[in-house]
Parts: sequence; structure tokens; C-alpha cells
Amino acid sequence: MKTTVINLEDKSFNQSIQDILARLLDSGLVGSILLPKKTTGGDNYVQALVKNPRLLADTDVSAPVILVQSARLISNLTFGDPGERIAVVVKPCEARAVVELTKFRQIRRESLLIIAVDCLGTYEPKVFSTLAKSGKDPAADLRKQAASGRCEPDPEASFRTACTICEHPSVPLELVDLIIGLWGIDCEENIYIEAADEVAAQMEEKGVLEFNGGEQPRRSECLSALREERVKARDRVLGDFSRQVSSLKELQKLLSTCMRCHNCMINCPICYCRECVFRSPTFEHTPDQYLGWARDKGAIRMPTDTMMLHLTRLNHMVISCVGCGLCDTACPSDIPVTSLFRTVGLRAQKMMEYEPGRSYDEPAPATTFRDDELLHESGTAN
Amino acid sequence: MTAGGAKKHRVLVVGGGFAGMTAALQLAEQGCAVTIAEKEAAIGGHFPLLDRTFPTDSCGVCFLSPKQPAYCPFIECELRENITIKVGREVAGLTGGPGDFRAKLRTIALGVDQNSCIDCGVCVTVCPVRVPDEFSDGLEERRAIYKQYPKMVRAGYRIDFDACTRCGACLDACPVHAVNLDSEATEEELIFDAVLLAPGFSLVDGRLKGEYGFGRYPNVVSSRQLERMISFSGPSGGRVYAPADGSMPRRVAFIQCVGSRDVSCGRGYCSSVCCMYTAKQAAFIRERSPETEVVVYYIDIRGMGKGYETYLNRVRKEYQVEYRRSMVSTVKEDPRTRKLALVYDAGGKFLRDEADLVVLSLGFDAPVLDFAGDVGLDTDEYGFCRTAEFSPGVTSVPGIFAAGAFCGPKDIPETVMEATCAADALLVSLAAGAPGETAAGTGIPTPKEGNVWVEEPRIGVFLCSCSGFMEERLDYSGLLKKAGQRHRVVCTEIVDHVCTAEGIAGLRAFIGKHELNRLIIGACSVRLMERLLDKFAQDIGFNPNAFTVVNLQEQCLLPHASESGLLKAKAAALVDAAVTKVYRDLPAIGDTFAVERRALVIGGGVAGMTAALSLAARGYGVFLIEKSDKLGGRLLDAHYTLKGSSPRELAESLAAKVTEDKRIEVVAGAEVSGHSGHAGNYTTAVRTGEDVHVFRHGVMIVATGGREAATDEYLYGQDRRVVTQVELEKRIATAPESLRSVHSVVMIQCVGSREPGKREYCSRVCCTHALKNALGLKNENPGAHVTVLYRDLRAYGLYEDYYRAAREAGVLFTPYDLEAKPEVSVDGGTLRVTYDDQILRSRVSIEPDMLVLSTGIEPADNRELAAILKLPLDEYGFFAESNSKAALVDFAGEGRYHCGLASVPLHIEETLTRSRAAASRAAAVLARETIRASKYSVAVSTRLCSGCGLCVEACPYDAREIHPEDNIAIVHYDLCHGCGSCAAICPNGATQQIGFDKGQIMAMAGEIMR
Repeated sequence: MKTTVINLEDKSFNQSIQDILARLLDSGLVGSILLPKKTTGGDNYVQALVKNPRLLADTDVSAPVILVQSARLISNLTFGDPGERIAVVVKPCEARAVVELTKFRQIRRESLLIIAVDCLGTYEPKVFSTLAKSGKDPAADLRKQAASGRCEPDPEASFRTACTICEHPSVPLELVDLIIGLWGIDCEENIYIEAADEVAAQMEEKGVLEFNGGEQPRRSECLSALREERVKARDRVLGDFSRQVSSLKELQKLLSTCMRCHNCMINCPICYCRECVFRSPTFEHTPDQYLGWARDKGAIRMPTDTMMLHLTRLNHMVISCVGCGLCDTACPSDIPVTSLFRTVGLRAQKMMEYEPGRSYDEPAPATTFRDDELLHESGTAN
Repeated sequence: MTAGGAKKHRVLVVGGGFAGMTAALQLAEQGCAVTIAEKEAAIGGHFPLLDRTFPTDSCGVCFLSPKQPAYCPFIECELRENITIKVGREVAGLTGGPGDFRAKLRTIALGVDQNSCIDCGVCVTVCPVRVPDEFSDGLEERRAIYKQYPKMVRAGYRIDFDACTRCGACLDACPVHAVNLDSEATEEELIFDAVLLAPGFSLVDGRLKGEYGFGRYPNVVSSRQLERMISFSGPSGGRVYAPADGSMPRRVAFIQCVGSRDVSCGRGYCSSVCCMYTAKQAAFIRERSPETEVVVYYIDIRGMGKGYETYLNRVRKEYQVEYRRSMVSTVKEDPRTRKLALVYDAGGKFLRDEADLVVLSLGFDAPVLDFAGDVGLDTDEYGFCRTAEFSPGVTSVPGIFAAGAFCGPKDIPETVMEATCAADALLVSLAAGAPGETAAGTGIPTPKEGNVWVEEPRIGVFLCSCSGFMEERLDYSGLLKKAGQRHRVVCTEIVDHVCTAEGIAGLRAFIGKHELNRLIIGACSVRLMERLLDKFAQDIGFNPNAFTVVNLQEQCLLPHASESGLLKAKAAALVDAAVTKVYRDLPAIGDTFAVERRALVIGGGVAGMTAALSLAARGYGVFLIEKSDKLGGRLLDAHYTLKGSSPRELAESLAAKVTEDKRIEVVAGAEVSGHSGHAGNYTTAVRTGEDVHVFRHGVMIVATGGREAATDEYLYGQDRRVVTQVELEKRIATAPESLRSVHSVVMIQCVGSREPGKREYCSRVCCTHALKNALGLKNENPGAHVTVLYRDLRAYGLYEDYYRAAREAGVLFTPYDLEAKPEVSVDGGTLRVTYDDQILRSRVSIEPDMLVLSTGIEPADNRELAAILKLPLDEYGFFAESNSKAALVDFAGEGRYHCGLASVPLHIEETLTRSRAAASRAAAVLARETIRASKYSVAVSTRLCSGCGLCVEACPYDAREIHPEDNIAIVHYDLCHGCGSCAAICPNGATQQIGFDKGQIMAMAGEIMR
């Protein structure tokens, strides 16, 4: 690992990062960069794929908002061979989703230069818009607090639930190529960067960045304290949730306003199927089936299969759920999908001794079989 | 049903045990019309006695995988259209010769019409007579009318007319009038082109060894009785007990070699199988009742098959079964306690042991064939059929072939191999199987596709009344009334006997009248009718996938016979589900591949050449790839066998035949450099020096051979007096005079074999190699002292005679343990071998002139080749078989096979057997003009597939792959077994199992759960 601490001198945080990224493009080490850029509307951020260094203006790697999960976009970019290396600027939950999608062959890791930025918390997109429209700079406001190791949301807003219970405000360097650290760093003065040896060497050779070995020991202190706090928050929130949704009846209630828009599935980074089984001929029922069900039960909920959708999604990908919370963001009925997935996910992951996004080498549980699982499956285990 | 109108060859297979069934399947698959004559009421032979088999501890034969025909020979023989099974028939006479054998088949009165019997079992419950059941040596009772074996496809009921009182109760009770108390023996004469004898064996009668008290002491049981005890279908449901009082025995003693290796009772041969079945039984006892001690009294443990060594080690170490190398002289019962006292020989001293249960491990007896004399069939002194060492499966009579235990005691894998080999020899003798002659002989019809999938479903529901038996119990009229109300059901009828060709033909009129394009048939077992349905479908141009069979017998009547309400409700739900299923049926994958009717054989040793010649004799072109510049392989350096034949001459004559045969193209000095394709269509690149040749072929046989393993133990390589068996063999053959001055020779067995960390397997041939060289030495120099230090002398089967001959010639055999291996040293020029003599119980030193090491066999280095061919090796570097019981020359999926030392250590005769077996398996593929993907398969939607690769991980047969360019999962239909694992793991249904797609399953579940 190589590290560096860059003094901002008279430049802003964003300017300095933009300069580095511009040099990265110029160096030819990557052919393009995917990163959050101000929307045309001006009050939000969404990812842009930038090839022209001059168009890096208006980008903010620390924008505290996720409109679309980057892992999904990265899959679009690298499902086939893109023919060049692409730098992608991601939040920790996005980096961990990249790990999962790599296992499912939806992302070509070798085509990427992954730059992970510490996450200080994110707002729902409409909340962010409101703050931006009122003249605030939510990103800068959070960066100001980063040095303290504690970031409070704007007094008139709150972070997304997923972020308040997220145990991964950063990712280890093994999963990515370069990290822009924010936690415990005085972002008004400095930028802290970690890079894998090989990447660092390439960058130094091409004059993108000098690695001066500067350290920021406060960062790891802040992160471990933060993690502890978040785990407690997580257990509290999910504990409340499982007490509340403790029966099938309660689950039915929870999902009763589902309008079959499939937004949760479309926005989920792990739901990688090109076309979901729920949008395929498998679920094209015939009229006599609907009528038969109605006859048998007296009445059936229309649309059908909404409970089935959520159960199937749980069955298919909860083991790989990174808890990014995009399903909550996407749900027009405000169903707490994230809490459901994190509650079930934690148990399933614990049972399989699996943590999504922990390592590229850890095979997905569906593809492995251990002898003792046979005992479990067959019910012969004690 | 052969293409081009050529007539089918008629073959009589005598005996429907494992050998007979295997041979019949091979022959039928290659276009012969096979008649199996079985004297019992059902086929199966001894197999129904076995609940599980070593070394996998499972039955292992039925793999429940629809595309593995050979795995359940019972079902397959019943279904194969080219096989006629005649049970209750014995061959009373056989005359004539090849092309015109006249066989007199005499019926044995069974009293039950096997074709009408529906296995309801009522007759047994009403029979008042109880007699001891010979199936378990009298451990259980049976009635006078009884089912011969517990678990069979066809029930096999029969009447014991000696016990029957003619009371007529069964006659009245039988719902289908299948019982006939007056059946008389009749005879028919049939004509055959060739005959294959597979009459099997019988177990020795335990009373033969009176000193063990079998038949007098209830707690002395036979291995047959114990096999029933450990069987879940047996009298105790798998619990071992002392028959005297039913108690659990605290100590069980097995006595090996009862009626084997014993000239005193006229059975000098080793029965080959008993050591392993005892190990299986002992392990079972320990597993089920860990507090029971088990001791095995034995002479040598003979477990020389693949995987057996590991199995035996597990039985000893994990199950802690005690093995005592000692023979028991007598067993006496204490009449008060019923405990048994055993007296056994321990190095000259007689010791006593006590047990609650003594098990006699019974050997094999040769069968008696009345007609053997008529045709002049050559049998040995024990009654086993004689075949020439280098012509396995071929008897002394032209046109008559033989396989299985009839040719000498052997276990199931060897039996399967020999039966396949004999079928090959038979087909070659008939010049059968040549291209064009037997093309459609597979029994799997090719359907004409009706374009029913785009039509609106018109569904017909037919229920088979089973002679009124099912109709009554299941309320057919109620079922049909309900089904008739379903959308798109246009015809509902009760029919009869759809399990017969005539019965099923009755459906035709309804199909025409109502323009049906989907059929539901409610009847008994699906698998019994499947082929019949497929054939019917083909005849009338109906897609076989538009049929659905509802199993009203096994899924309704049998499990719920006593719960009338549940029975009817379940039947109705299943019919409902079937209507929903056919509504959504989709066509089978119609992929058909033309078969490239040539073979590629890798390896020009005896194995490869034998396989190549066999295929060429059937008229197929063969590319024979040999690494060196010369054909012949390892056997060019082998001078003689234990039985006195010359391997070298064999290798040379095969090489000459191969060279002469115009159908065989030999590519010498060649190595395989690339390989792709699937069964029926492979492309293989072969490099010779700078050149690369590309061959297209339909099948492949890998026969890369093996070699004598190297060693540096016991001063080999340091002292010239230490040689290997192969080196000694060469000296005996080429410089015998040099041996006349030798006074003393020591041979050490298992050098580097059966040893943890070295080669853990048994090399099978070293014991007989030592015997042949010891006898060879004694022959040249009778005065020489020859001492063989061995661990278990594995002269199995008929090789035992040579072991006895060697002892009689004065060769000294002395056992050693792995924990106390012999020590070899040189002291002042004197070679010294020191070992613990277990008989003298002291340390003995010999100063031999020559020390001969049996170093075992290892495979050629196959790693690179295996990687190119994408074929699996086992942990020792041999090519891995797909099933250790029934598919020893097969890889998963058909098309590619292996044989010879590339598979496992083998004697030459066994190599020949397996090579012909591999050729026969390969020829069965080449016999088809086209290969059609099985209807049991999966379909992939390219629109839906995300290329995630989960299916690739889930597939146990390597049949799924991500296409490197398209990033879409593809199916190799030749490898696909239709198990559905990939369809289950596919998250969005991009992979669907045909006939059971996700939509169908959900819709069916919806119907059932209403």
C-alpha cells in the first residue's frame, strides 16, 4: 500500500480531485471515468461517463446522494469487453456490489480502476434537491465535519435509513485500486489517498500523483468507532423491524401497497438478470388461471404475485445484499424494503458464513456445497 | 425395426441376472432381437438380495437419471423393445450351430400369469400356508403364493406347488384372474443366431462345513441370511439379531472362505467377492449397533478392485472391525446360553473365542447347465465355463458366448465388463452392427413433430381401468366428470391396458375424432409405459412431449389404499395438475446430430489395438493414435502369463492385424493436441512432429496404458541383486540358464503399494506376477529356495489354483504387516533380508542371491491429455469411471470411453475384456445414424440469460458452459442428463427444464394446493 497526503493550498477539495482525475485521463492509464456530476437541472448529482478532462468540472466524488447504484452502470460498461480501462468512482456500498457482480460474471474487474471514496452519509435524492435549491452545499457541509469523526445531516433533513445502519463507511484497499479517505481528515486542508502498490507505481510513473507516504492515523480510529456505533444502530433498527414484522400476516400488511412497479428490482445492484422472471412468460398467467383462483378463493388481490416477487427476490439475492438501500429510495409506496432485506440478509449471511462484498475470492454460497450442509438440508444434523 | 430392412439377429441370453441383463441391453441397443430365458419368476438374479453394495454403500445401480440406461438394468430390460423377457423358462436342450441354434425352452409352472398380474399382493394375504423362505435361507417365512424378490419392476409372483394345498383362496381373491393352479409345463423350440450364457452362480450350502454347525445352531447364520438382516426390506428392517432369541449380538464373528479355497470340499478356487461383502456387512453392523464387536477370521483379504483398499481401511480403522488372520476349526454351541465357542489356529496354538452370532461367508458354486454336454461346452473341473485366456467371453463352441460368474467367480463390476465384452464378441461373430444394418436399433424412436404448439390445446383425458381394478377404487367416473369441466378438455374416456401396444393403439380413434393435440393418461408407473408411448407417438406423428402420464398407482393407490377420501382427492388433484401442465407444454429440443461413424483410439498398446480391431470388425473406420513409433506397448516386454500364454505374441499378432486392417489408420509418433465436440461429432487435432492432423470422429476410446512403478526401496538401484518382477521375468524367459546357480530368492510384495503416502491402491496383478515368476524359477531350478513375503496373497478367482501349485512346488509364503516391513541390508557383500515371521513368531534372516520386488502398476502421466480432452482423472492419475459398479469404461455422458491400464491396474485378460467392453459401448453410439437430444433436457432463452454462470457451477455433468463470445450459457446436449439442477439455480428462468418449466410447476402446484 502507498499513501499520500496532499495539501489543498489555495484550491478547493473538488478542484484538486478534478485535477488529479484530469491527469489520470491524460496519462492514458484509463480511457474514461465514471463519477457523480451535477445534473442538468443543477440541484442533484448523477453519474456521468467522462472522456473529455475539461468536462470534469461540476463533478463531486463525495456527493452525498445516490440516484442510481454505480455497480449497475459498471455492469453495463463491462459486461462485454469495453476495450479500455475505465476508472469508476464509487461509494463503499457500490464497491461491495461490484465485488458481488464480479462473482456473477456481470462485471469484468480487470477492465476497471476502482476509486472508492469514504461515505459520510447520503440523502434521499429529493431531500438533496431541496437542500441544493435552498442554496446549500450538502457535500461541503459534511466534509467540514469529517475531521471530527461524526457527520450530522443538515438540521432540516435526515440521512437515508440504509446509511444510518451501514457498517461500511469505507472499504478495505484489497477490494479497490485507490481510496480517497474522508473520515478523520480535515478536508478543508488536505486530501488523503491510499493506493495499491502497482497502481501507485503506474500513477507515479505517469505523473498523475506523487505518493509521499503521508499518513492520517485519525482515520482508522474514527472508522472503528463509527462501525461500532453503526452496528448498534443496525441491531436496534432491525430488531424493531423483526419484532414488528413477526408473522406472515404482518409481512402481508407490510407489502400490501406494492404496485408491482418493479422499481426495487430495477434499482437493486444485485438483481442482475437481464430480464426478471417476473417480467418473463413464466408469470404470464392465462385468463382462466386468474378466474380459477378467484373462483377458488372467492376473491384474489390484483395484481397477483406481488408477495411472490419480494419472496423470490429475497430467495435469489438476499445473500448478496450489500444494504445500499436503493430499493427504499426507489419504492413509490414507501415500503421499507431495505429493512426487510437487511433483516433476512443478516441471518442468511450468518448461516452461510458469508459477507457480501468481503472478498472477490469468496465464492457465492449458491455455487458451493459443503458436506455438513447435506446434514442441514436433509434434517439429519443434530 | 432396422433400417434398410435387414433382419435382426436373434440372440438367446440364458439367465437374467446382472450379466444377462447387461449383455441383453448391449445386444438390443445394437439391433439384435434378444430373448432372455430366466428360470425364476423375475429377472435380477442375486441382485435383489443386495440392499447396498460396496464400495459406495449404496445400491448405486439405479441412478434415477433418465439418460443413464445401463444404471438400472431391471427397468431398461423391461422397456427395451428389442428384448423379450421369458421368466419361468429353462433351457431343456440346445442343438445346431451359429445362425441356426435350436433352443428348447421349457416353462416352469409359476401359477401366476406375469402379464396380467398387477402386483396388488392380495393373493399373498389370503394364502394360509407358511413355509421357510429360501430367499433368506429360511430366516423368514413366506406363503405358498409369494413374490419372489422384494423390490422388482415386474412383481414376479409365483406359487410353490410343493407347498400349495390347492385351497383356491388366491384364485378367488385375485382381481385380475392371474392365478392358475393348474399350469402345466410346456415346451417351445426357438431358433437363434447366437447364444450368450449367463446362468450365474449359486451360493455354497453352509451345511457343507459341518464343523461350523450351520443348520444345527440357530445363531450360526449364512452370509445370505445376514444380507437379509441388514436389508431394509428384510425381516428386521435392517437390524442384526441372534435368531435363537432375537437379541442383539454383543460379538459377531465372520468366518471367511466357507466353501472357497478348500479342496477338501471340491472347491479349490477363491470366490473373489466374499472378502468385500463381509467388509460391507461388518461395517453395517458396526454402524447400526456400535456396541457390537465384530471380528473377521480370514486367510487373505482379497479386495483388489478400484477403491476397495480405501474401503477396507475404513472398515478396519473407522468401524474398528478386527481382522484375525487365522482359520476357525470348529464352532460349538453352549446349549444353555446359545453362545458359540470358536476354536481357531494361532501360529500352531489353538485358541478359543466366543461370539453371539457367527456368520459364514459363503462362496460361489458353478451353475449346472443340463444342455452343456449336448453342445460340447468345455467346463473346468469346478464346472465353470472355460474361455481362452486371451479370448474372454468366447466359449469352446462357435456361436456360444459366456459371461459373469459362470466363467469364474467375480463381483458386479467385473461381471458387467465381461458381459459387455461377450456381447461385443458375439456381435463381431455375427458381423453385426456394421453401418446401415442396425441404425434404428436403439429403441428410441424419433418423433415426427406435429406443429401442436401453436394450436389451441385440445386435451384428452384417458384413465386406464387396469381390468377394472383401478377404475373401482379410484372412482374414475367422478374423476372424468370433474376433468371434463376443465377449459380445453374435449374428450374424457376410460380405456384399458394402455401398458400394452394393443391397449395404447385404442387411443388412436379418440385422437382422430376429437383432433386432440394434448393427452393425459392416468395409469400406473410412468417409466413402464414411457417407451411404449414414445413409440405410439412416433407412429401416429404425435409429439411425445404432448403426453403426460399421471401415476395413479404408485402415487395414489399404493400409498393411500386405506384412506378412500384422501385417495380420491389426491387422484383428482393430480389429474387437475396434469391438465394445467399439458396446457403449457412446449416442444422437446429437436436437435439432431448426424453421427460421424468413425472412432478415434488413443494408445496403440494391447488395449487400444483390441478396441480398434473390434470396431473395425463391425465395419467402422478407426484412427489409432500411438505416441511411440511402434504398436504393441508394454506387452512387447512381457514374456508369459501365469496361465502360460505369451503376451508378446498377443501384442505382435494384434499389431499385425491392425496393420493389415484397411479400416484402421495408424498414426504413430503422434500426440493429441486439441479436442472438441460432443458424442457423435468430435474433432481431434493430432500432432506428429511438425504436422498437425485433424480427425473427425463420433466416438473416442482412451487407452494410454500404464507401467511398472519405479522404486528406491529395499536397496533397489544400489545393489544389482535387487530386481523387479519384470526384470526377473525377462531373465526367466531369455536367460534361464543364469538362474540355475541361484540358491535362494526372496520376493517382497506390495512395494510402494497399499501404503499411505505412496500408491494407496492395490495393483491387483503383483501377486499373480510373483506366483508366475516363483513357478518359473522353480521350473528352471527346482532346488532354489523361494520365499514370498506378502501382506495378502491376492490370487483371486481361479488364480487360487496356481497359488496352491506354487505352495506344492515348495515356494514358501510368509505374511508381513505394513507396521513391520522386511528390512534389507548389505553386510560385507552379503545381501540380507530380515523379517518377523508370524508363524514362527520370531525374527528371521535370509541371505538370498536375489531379491525381487513387486512394485505395482501406475498409470501413464495422463494429466496433459486429460486437460486437453477435459476428462477426469482419479486421485491416483487413472481415468475416472462414471460409476464404479456399472459403468467402468464410461465417462459421464456417452461417446467417450477408457480401458486398459489407463483406467485401473488389470491382468491382461481383464484388459482385453474391458477393451472389448469399451468398443461395444462405443459401437452402440456408432450404430445410430443420428443422435437426438433427449427429451429430458433443458432449454435456454438467449433473451433472458445473463451469463452469470450459476448453471455451470450447478451442473454435475459438465454439460453447461458460458459461450466465450456470446456470454450466454449453452447446453451440451450429449452430456446433459436432464437432472434440472441448472434450471433450479437459474434466477430468472432463462434455463427451463422441458416439460417441467417454472410456469408449469407453479401452475401445477397451484392446482394441487387449491
